[in-house]
Formats: sequence, C-alpha cells, structure tokens
Amino acid sequence: MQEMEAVIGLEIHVEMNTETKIFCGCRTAFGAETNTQVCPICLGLPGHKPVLNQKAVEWHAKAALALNCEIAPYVQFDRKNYFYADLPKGYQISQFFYPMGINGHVDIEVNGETRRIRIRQIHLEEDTGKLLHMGNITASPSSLVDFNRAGVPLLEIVTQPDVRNAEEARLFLQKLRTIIQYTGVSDCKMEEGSMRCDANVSVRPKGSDILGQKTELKNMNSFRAVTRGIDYEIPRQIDLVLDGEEVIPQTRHWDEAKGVTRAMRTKYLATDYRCFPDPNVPPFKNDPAWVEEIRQSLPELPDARYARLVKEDGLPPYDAEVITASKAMADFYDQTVALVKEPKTVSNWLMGEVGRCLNTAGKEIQETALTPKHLAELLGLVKKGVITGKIAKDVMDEMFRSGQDPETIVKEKGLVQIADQSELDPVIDRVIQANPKVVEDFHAGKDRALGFLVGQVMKETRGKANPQMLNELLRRKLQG
Amino acid sequence: MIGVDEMLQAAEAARLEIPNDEAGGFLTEINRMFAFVKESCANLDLGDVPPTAYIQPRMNVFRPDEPQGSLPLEIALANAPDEDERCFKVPRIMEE
Amino acid sequence: MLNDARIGRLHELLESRQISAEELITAVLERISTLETTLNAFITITPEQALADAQTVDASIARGEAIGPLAGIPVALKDNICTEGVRTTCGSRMLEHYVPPFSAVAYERLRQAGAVLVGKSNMDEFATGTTNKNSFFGATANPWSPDHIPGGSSGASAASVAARQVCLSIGSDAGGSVRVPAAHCGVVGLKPTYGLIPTDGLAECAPSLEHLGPLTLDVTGCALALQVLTAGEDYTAYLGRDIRGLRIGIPQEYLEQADPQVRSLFDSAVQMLTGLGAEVEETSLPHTQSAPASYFTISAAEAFSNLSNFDGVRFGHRAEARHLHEMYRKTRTEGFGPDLRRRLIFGTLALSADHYEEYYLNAQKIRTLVCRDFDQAFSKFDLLLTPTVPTPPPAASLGQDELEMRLQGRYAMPANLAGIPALSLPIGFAGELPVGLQLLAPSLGEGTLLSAAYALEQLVGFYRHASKI
Ligand SMILES: [Mg+2]
Ligand SMILES: [Zn+2]
Repeated sequence: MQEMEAVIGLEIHVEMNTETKIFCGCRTAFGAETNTQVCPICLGLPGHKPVLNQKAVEWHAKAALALNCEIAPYVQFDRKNYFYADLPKGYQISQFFYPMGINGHVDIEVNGETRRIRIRQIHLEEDTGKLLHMGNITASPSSLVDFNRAGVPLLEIVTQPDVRNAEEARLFLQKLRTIIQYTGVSDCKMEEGSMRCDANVSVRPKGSDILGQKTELKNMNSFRAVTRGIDYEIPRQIDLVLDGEEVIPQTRHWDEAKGVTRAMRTKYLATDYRCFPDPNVPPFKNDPAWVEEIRQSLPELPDARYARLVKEDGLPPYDAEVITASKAMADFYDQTVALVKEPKTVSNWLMGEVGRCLNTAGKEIQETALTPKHLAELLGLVKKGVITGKIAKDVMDEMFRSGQDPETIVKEKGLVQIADQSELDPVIDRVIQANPKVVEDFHAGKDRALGFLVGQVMKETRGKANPQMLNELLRRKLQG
Repeated sequence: MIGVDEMLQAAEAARLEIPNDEAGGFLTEINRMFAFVKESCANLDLGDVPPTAYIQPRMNVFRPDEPQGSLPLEIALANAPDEDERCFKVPRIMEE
Repeated sequence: MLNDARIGRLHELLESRQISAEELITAVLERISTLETTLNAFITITPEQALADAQTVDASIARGEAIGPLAGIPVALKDNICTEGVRTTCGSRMLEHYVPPFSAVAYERLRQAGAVLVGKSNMDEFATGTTNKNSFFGATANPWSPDHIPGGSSGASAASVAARQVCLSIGSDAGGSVRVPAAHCGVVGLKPTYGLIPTDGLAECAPSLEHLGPLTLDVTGCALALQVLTAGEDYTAYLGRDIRGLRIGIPQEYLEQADPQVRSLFDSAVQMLTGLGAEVEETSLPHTQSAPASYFTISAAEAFSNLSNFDGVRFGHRAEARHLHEMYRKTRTEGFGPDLRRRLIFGTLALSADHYEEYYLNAQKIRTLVCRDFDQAFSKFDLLLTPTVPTPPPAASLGQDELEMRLQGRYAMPANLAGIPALSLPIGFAGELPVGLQLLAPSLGEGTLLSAAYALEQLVGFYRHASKI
C-alpha cells in the first residue's frame, strides 16, 4: 500500500492587547456589556472614516520581528468584501496585497530534532463582531449580534505548508503563543478567543511534491481541538484517496462534541473576495530606523532565554524549557535567582511547590500575590535552618494566598524550627512512652517503626522539629 | 461582453436582485459600459504604467491608542431595524 | 433682501444690524416654501432649529460681539452629509428614516462659524447621477427653466443657491457633482484639493474620488466658505489680485465635444482673461478621452464595496425575509434604485477575479496617466481653463441614454482622478440657460483659482442675474 503524508498550513488569528480598536477609539476590554464598545466607525455607519491605531502597527512589527519576519517597506490596507451578519461594513479591512511581515519562521523540537516551520506572512486586520444563537446556528430562528469585538486589531499569521501532523501543529502553536506572549502583544488565550487557529489540510503520496486538494478546518477552539481535528481529518482524506475518491475542497467545521469535521452547508460562501486597496486608509512606509528601534525593544525571546538558562545557570534542559514556556515564569525565575543565586533550587521550587499552587488555583504566576522577593526570602529561611523544608511548603501556601512575606508568616504562626534539645527531649519521651508496641517493633529490627515515631514527634511539634536532630535524639534514646 | 449568467452571479455577490423586466436593460447597459472602458484602453500601452490607488501623498496617518468614547447603547441601537437583549437582531442564518 | 443674496453683502447687513438673522432666515424659509412645489430642492427642511440658531446669532450681535462672515448665513447641506439628529437620506429609500448619531466635520465647522442649517438638499440617489432625476424623493428642476435638469448629483444644491433659497450650499463631487450643476444653474461651485475639506461624515460612494465643496452666488462667498470648511487660511486675501502674467493653458481635448454656444462663451472668457494680462496658450492633456472610463470603473468598484454596509442589520431599510441571505438581497433590492443597482453590479464585475486586471487595474493605470498629464501641464501653467460641461443644461425630458448623460461630466472627472482643485464659474447664457467655465489648478492651488475666477467674475458679473423662477 502506498504510504501517504499530510501537508498542513496553519492560519492563526491573534487578538492584540491594545487599549482601543484598530480604526476607532472604542475600548477592546473583554467581557463588556454587549454593544457598549461601539461607535459609528466600528459599526460601519454611513460616513464613518477609519483612522489607524499607531500602537497596533508598532505591535504588529514587534510580533513579526519576534517571529523572524522581514518588515516590508510599504504597507497597504485592502478591503476583503463579503457579507455576513457579524461584519459591519460588508468588508474586512486587511493587508492583502502588501502585508507588513513576510518570510518568517519558528523552530520547533520534534523527537529531538529541530523542525523549521516557515511563516509566509503576518498581516494586520480587524476582527468581526460576535453572533449569538439560540441553541446552535442551524436551529436558531434568529440570531443576535454584538459588535464589541468588531474592529479589535488582529494579527493573522499564515504558515507555509510545512506542518506534517497534529503533534507538529500543537508544538508550533505552543511555541508561537509563547513567543507572542513574550512580546506582550497578546495574551493568546484560546479559551477567550484571543488566539484562534484554522488549518489547511491535504494529503499526498509520501515524497511527492504535488499538493492534493485541501480542506480548511475551522472552529478548533483549543490546542486539544487542533490536535483532534487534524488527527481526524488526515485519515479521512487518506481513506478517500486510497479508495480512489476525490477530496472535495471545502471549509469543514470541527465538531468538538462529536469529534468529527463536517462540511459547512451553505450556498452563499464567498469565493471571490474582490480585494482592492481601501481608499479610506492611507498606506504607510516603514523607516528602517523605526524598524530597528522596534527590534531593539524586543525582550529576550524564548529560544535565547532557554539557551542562557541551560548554559549560564546550568539548568537541565527540561527545567529550562518548563521555565521559559511562560515569560512571566521566566521573569520570576530570573528575579528570584538574582536574589538567591541558586538556579536549580529556584527551578525546583517553581516547578514543584509554586507549580502545585498555580495548578490548584488555576492561575498564571503573574496573576498571584507571590513575588520573587518573598520566594527568595523563603528559600533563605530554609537554608539558614530557621524553618524546615516541610514547613516551608505550608508557608508557601500562605504566601500564595495572602501575599505576606515569609518571615512574618513564620513569626506569627510560630513556625520557627525547634533545634533545641531541651525542647525536643520531653516530646520524644512522651512519644516513646505512648507507643511501647512501636518501640518493640524497632528493637525487633523493623525500620518503619522509627519513621512512625519521627512522624509522631513531628505531629506534636506541628512539623517544626529539626529533622536531623530529631532522628539523632530518637535513635539515641531508643538504643540508649 | 458578459452574459446574463455572469451578471446574475455578480448581482448575487453584491446581494442584489435583478427583476426579470429589468434584466435585459441591465445587461445592455453593463455591456455598453464594458465596451466603453475597453475601447478607452484600446489605444493605450498600459503594460508598464503603475496603478494609482491613492491620489495624494498623504501617508503614515495614525492616531494614538487612546480611548475616544463609544456610543451609549440606546443610541447605538436607535437605528436598528430589529433588536433584542441589547443586540442587533437578524433573521435565521441558515436557509433551512 | 434676497435680491442680492451674496454672502459678503448679507454679512455686512447683519453686522451693521440693517437686518437680523431671524429676518433673513424667515425670508429664506418663506422662499423655500414658495418655490418647493416647482423646484423640489429639499428633502428635509429644518425651520424650528434654523430660527432658534438665527436667534442665537442675533443675541450675539446684540451683545456687541464680532461675528464671523458665515454667522447667520442660511446654508443647505446635500443630504449625504450626516447631521446629528436630522434625517440624512442620501436621496434613497434605503435611508428614508435614517437619523445619524453624529455630524460630518464640515457641518460641525459651519455650525461653529454660526451658519444656519435650513435644510437638506435633494440629490441623485447616493450621488450617482448627473441629472438630479435619480432621487427617491423626486426630481429637482432647474431654476432658470423648470423644464431643464439642474445637473447632478448636487443638482438641488446648485438650484437652491441659484433660486436664493439659501446663500450657501455644500455639495459633494466625485466626478463633477458640484461643478456640473453649478454650471447648469449659474452659480459658483468649487471642488477643492482632495482631502482639504475632511469628508468624515460624508456618506459617499467612492472615497478615493469624493470631495466636499461649496456652492455660492459669487467667488467671494466661495472663498469665505472655504476658509470655514477647511479651518484654514483667509482665502479672500487672494481676491482682487492682479492676474497679469498668469500662465493659463487651454487643453484642446476639452474643446472637442463642446457645443458651439458653449464654445463661443468660453472663447470670449478667454479673451477677457487675455485682456486682463494673462498669458493664455493652447496645450494638450493627451489622456483626457480615457478619463471617463477610469472614473466610471473606479467609482463603481468603490461603490460596490462602500455601500455593502447597507445590509439592513444596524440601520436603514430592512425587507421582510425568511433568512439572512434573503434579507440582504431583498433589503438592497428594495432600498436601492435601479440605476444604482446597475452601477453596483458593474463595480462588482469590474473587481471580480476574471475582470480585475482588464477593468479595475487598467482604470487605475489610466488614473496614473491622467495625473501625469496634469503634472506636465502644471510645470508650464499656473492654471488650466476648460468649459465645465460640453453643453448647456439638457431638457428634463431628454437624457434617457445613460452613458451619454454621464459623459456630461467628462470635463469634470479628470480633476477628481487627480485630486486637484477645480472651480466652475458662470460666464453667460446659451439662450436662457447658464453656461459655466472651469478653472483647474495644481494641488493646493485654491488661491490662484479664486484669484483668477474673481478677476473674471468682475467682468462677467453673472450673480447680478436673477433666475427666472
Ligand atoms: Mg483573516
Ligand atoms: Zn468604535
């Protein structure tokens, strides 16, 4: 049987974090009351005149440079004409003929090998409004439109068809998200719709350089959906081809509930967008000095940061990857290491205790009250023996909750380690007296008995006993 | 010259109907316009001429990323042919 | 009071308290109501607000405050210029009941200057037409002869100034729509440099071609209005200047189709300018004949897209329909008249993948050639002089041939393609009907344009004639 391979190009839309929309002064805040962030421009009322948001252009350049693109010297906005209820003007303003970012790439690690996914272009365009259906689109007897999102600046990132499978698509998207988050241009939250991905999928005999008929997968609203959607679509197309049938070029919706892709059933999909230069929006030229300025303003990007953490801080590659996957986390790491100078300990804590707290709270590190200074202080307390490692975990919980500094927590809760023999002796004696059976077991050579007794003392001292001292004293008393 | 089918397709793309009694006149007029444009280009060598989309040197026109104030909801909806639940209301999207 | 309704003169009367703004506005409103049955120049009249605004101006004069030249002056706006709280229809059923939530910048500036809005002028639907017959609200008549068209698409804007229903009206001009009716109605019409008057709030069809421009009885009024509309310099400073040595070119291509009566009036105007010491010379703009094709194509293509916001969702007419797609089709078919729909379909075709290069792109290339023609001519001349329209105003009963009617604007269109300023000045009569002459200047050459027009006006003095109606 002939071996087949998939050819996948991705189109990613990313909503920018600008204060206002791309062509008007309406705010872009997420979750506002419906149709309260609208004006004549973003509603497309007769006589409206769009004026381009400078920040959106700067951020566009920033994201494009971060993704290794060239910045085109001349940029023009064009109209993409089609009718839909969420599209106020009957056209979308986009960069069709002269996009600003071209010829970029992102490198991903697949099975220990570096794969380069080329980016054809990154252009700036406007988002549409939002349709609200009663039930689903097919059943709904009418629909409601909220234009708050209409005109929010969007980056559209178009890759070359370099992706071969769902796993590569996922790795690419994650890397892309991380890079864009580093630039601060977008928070790339797929669940809030600020990052969306469509995939153009086709299949061909392995090694062939002819492209097969492609389908466009839409409505994949999470990383998982992208993976599942592509994993569904590839075998569907391969089966068709191997059965001697044709792949019909069409737009297919990913049905998350049923786990299938489905052809959109409508006769009215536009096939010719009649793009032409938008006479309302003057084009612009990019001064090379300005491009350089933007380039200089870029933060250290994930790849460079990863390399530094491995090389200079001596972190294991795995740690470096986890830490640099989020800019906020990597910044937190750097700031903490600057204070305690123990990279691996900091990394352990961030990946361990801090990670646990974040998971439980469902938050990102920048959304919590925790600060690098407090984490550094906590590690200092452990190192100096003021508190035990076990107590430190409790202190972490409290710091995470309240944002208090660790010393205050330790003092107020009386968590200072007991490393004074005169304090520990009576407790140990009490425990030995109360557990004659366990003491017998100890003398019979059962190792677990000692552990139990240690635990009992720890319980009585609420974890504050210095573990080494406790072990030593207990052993001495039992054997003595 | 375009045919009636092509004209109807274009009408569809522009979301317009051409009533039967208008179709003939429409086609004649549109084809006349096409012929006129074609004729006007006939004696010109346009190959190397760059197109002009913008007639003025006005470029790099930007505004700062500062909120300007939006319309109050009731004003935004004031001209809406149909509304419901603080939204613009449209008829069903799917045909059946 | 309205026998001589030039802005400058009325301003003097107001300033010296010989008349009050309220008296002026009352007189104008009376004249509007008397003439409307014949002219049909207004879609909406705003008497209450106008009288209230006039009283505000009077109060200001009574307090001894200095007033600007447009204070208390009655003005009409073409009904595609958005006026907050006042219905703005674009002459279309689509917007029959549309009240915009914001005002055009041009209107804001006029208000600031104390000008008094008395109504919204009739117009060809969405400014597509050269006859002013193409309005959902009925045709407008030519005040010199009601059997003749006033020209379009700002036909009613020109007619109402000629008929002294207002002293200033603001029209829009994408391919001659201010200048053609100005010529047909015997008033001064100016299309300034592209973008000089902001078009924010102008519900236009073709943004790359569209301009706003004033129509007035005389050149002085035009200069006064231009200053306010552009929030710019004092253009009256250019009036009364010596034009000796002014280099004026006569592009021969603009005379080829001219009617003999138009030609002879044009020739005598050229003689007057020569008499004033201007250096007049023949010249050539070789791509003039191709300009209409470029204009027709670009304007239709832009209109197709620019009017796509008329979808029945957020404003305007909406048809009953079973589903969204049907709603679009029915709404737009019911809301737009047949001429407009035909142009939109032509524009749709010109932009479609199959025709894009041959039509839309070639039209843009011709546009380049037209611009180059002007660049070359203006390297030798300060001004160019042409008839505004090839013929006197046609009879209203004629003009069923759409292409022929549209070619009435052939001398006006090149200035829109190039964005250069152009002014139409009435220079005499063909029988009882006015004829206009067009002056063209390079970008931002409004001063030269006004100064030459003013010099010529002193000899012609057309504003002294009252329209028949
Ligand atoms: Mg897009
Ligand atoms: Zn807005």
